[in-house]
Amino acid sequence: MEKDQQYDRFMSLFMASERSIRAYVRSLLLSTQDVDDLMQDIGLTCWHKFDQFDPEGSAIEFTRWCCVVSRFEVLRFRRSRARDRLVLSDEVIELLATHAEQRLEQSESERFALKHCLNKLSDLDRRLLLSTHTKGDSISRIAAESNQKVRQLYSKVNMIRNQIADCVRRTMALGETSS
Amino acid sequence: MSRSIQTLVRQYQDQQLTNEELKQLDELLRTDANAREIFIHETNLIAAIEDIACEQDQDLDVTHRVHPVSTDPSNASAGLSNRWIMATGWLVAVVAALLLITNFASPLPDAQTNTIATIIGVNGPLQWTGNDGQVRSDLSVGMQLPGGTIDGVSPESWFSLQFDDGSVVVTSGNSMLAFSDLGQKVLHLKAGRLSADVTPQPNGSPMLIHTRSAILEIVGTSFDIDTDLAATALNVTEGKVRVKRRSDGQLVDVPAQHQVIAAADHDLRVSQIPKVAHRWQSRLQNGLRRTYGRWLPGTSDQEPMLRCIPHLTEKNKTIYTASFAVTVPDAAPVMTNTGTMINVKGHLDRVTDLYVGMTLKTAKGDFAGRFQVVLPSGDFQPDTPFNHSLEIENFTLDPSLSAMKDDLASSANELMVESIWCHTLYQQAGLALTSVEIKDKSE
Repeated sequence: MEKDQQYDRFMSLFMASERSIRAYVRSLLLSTQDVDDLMQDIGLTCWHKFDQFDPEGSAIEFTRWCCVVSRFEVLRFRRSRARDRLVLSDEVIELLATHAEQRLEQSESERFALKHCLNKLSDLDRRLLLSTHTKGDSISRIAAESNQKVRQLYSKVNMIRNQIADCVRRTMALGETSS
Repeated sequence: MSRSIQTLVRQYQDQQLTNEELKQLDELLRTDANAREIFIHETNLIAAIEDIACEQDQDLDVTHRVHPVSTDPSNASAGLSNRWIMATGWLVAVVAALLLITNFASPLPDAQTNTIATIIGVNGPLQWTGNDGQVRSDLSVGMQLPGGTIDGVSPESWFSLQFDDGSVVVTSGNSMLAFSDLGQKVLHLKAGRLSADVTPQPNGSPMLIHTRSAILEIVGTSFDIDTDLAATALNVTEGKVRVKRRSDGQLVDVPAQHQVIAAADHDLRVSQIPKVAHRWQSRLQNGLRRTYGRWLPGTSDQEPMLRCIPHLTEKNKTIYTASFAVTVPDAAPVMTNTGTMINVKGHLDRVTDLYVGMTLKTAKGDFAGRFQVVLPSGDFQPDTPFNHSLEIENFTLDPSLSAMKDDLASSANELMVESIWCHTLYQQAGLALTSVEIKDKSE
């Protein structure tokens, strides 16, 4: 395959898989900043090794292949960082990586179901849930705006998380029974 | 049991575990497959929620991406936004650079001087990242580029590029485009808007435009694309474009005067471009979609509003801006006419001159200019809501475009409104918009 064709194929596959790879890496690393940093290295490593990937391989095979490449990048990354935080042991990370690789398609379905479940939330609940991850927003800001106590809102966020997790399980179960 | 593992996982993700609890979680995960399942399930949902939050404030964070020093140290999530764009955009640039290095190593006599396109129009803050990693913000007409990535960093950014075969592509607003031509033009539109007028391409080497949700194959035609993380909307003005939806590989041909939206959760249905509209109204109560600014929801004593956010102009000045996309791919294009009136409501914390403007396009989709009205500070009172109606004939070409005025429209009349924006200059004046409306004078 010509190099530029290879580049196009790689970029197409990588962009289509990026969300799944990122979620996989996120499950092994604690900080989103670390994930951001590592995703760049992972992209580059996958590109360097792309000629080892089966040219006839499907998109899901590519995702799985990238996850395997990412696993080693994650372990290398963890070892390169000072142990200044409370993190899980390497042995557990390896076990989690294996588990996550076995359920990539299920993880994708869960993320799809989550979007559906988020749409069922009221605007305020949705904002609360997203606020801890949204630039410029926070629970304390919502507390100030709505004249509520921060602690109450944290409890509420936890309840919404449970609600969402249950909804995702229900949606997945329905999907499985209807298919 | 499940709930207690779930709680531990969440506390771990929130970095609130004590050393003892961490040991407990580690032991559980090491010995219990069910605990690992709960852990992966929970973290997968957290990752998805982060992504959705990231998509939600994507437009807001462009300034932070270019100038990554946050002014708000309490903002722990700064830098989350646009990470998709950052990661993949970075990857496109680096991989393209590696590819070029590989090509340099092969015997291509003039590879190092190989430019593929010339800038024919540029306005507003933009950043180009070359394939050799250099980053430049001082782009000017006539500059020749070897490929790379163009990043529009404000709603007013606009960029027009002509390939050596005469094909022209134009990006506007907060768009990000990587482009290359190694015998076949390959573009990656990460986000934003692109219009193109493509000359007939060589047999077997159509121009390819990749977005997150679709791949477009262009042999020679005129069209507009608007893409975000989940969907790509295409309007074809002339010729035909073949669209492949990434999620399932489905193909459709889109003929002239037709449009399609490629998204995993949307029928890939080709339809006629709808007729024009002459009225439009912002709907801040529905959220921040297609706005640029800091959206604040309504409360019992306050309407929803869009507060301005700062960004640097190409002259390194800070302006404070907020804007609304007006003509959007899934609705009729909004056109001005002689009876058009623009109504703007909002407030300023501090009185200052207010610039109200529109980015306009021709009916064919070509950039027609930015037209604006400057409302003097005397028209405002501090902390008092303002409500100004502006007639279309009072809008004049943004002086920063005067060098190009012969190529742009002579008035704001009979043009398609791409966006409406308001800004104040240089010092924060606390501009917040509560409503913007395009209507007829007679109303």
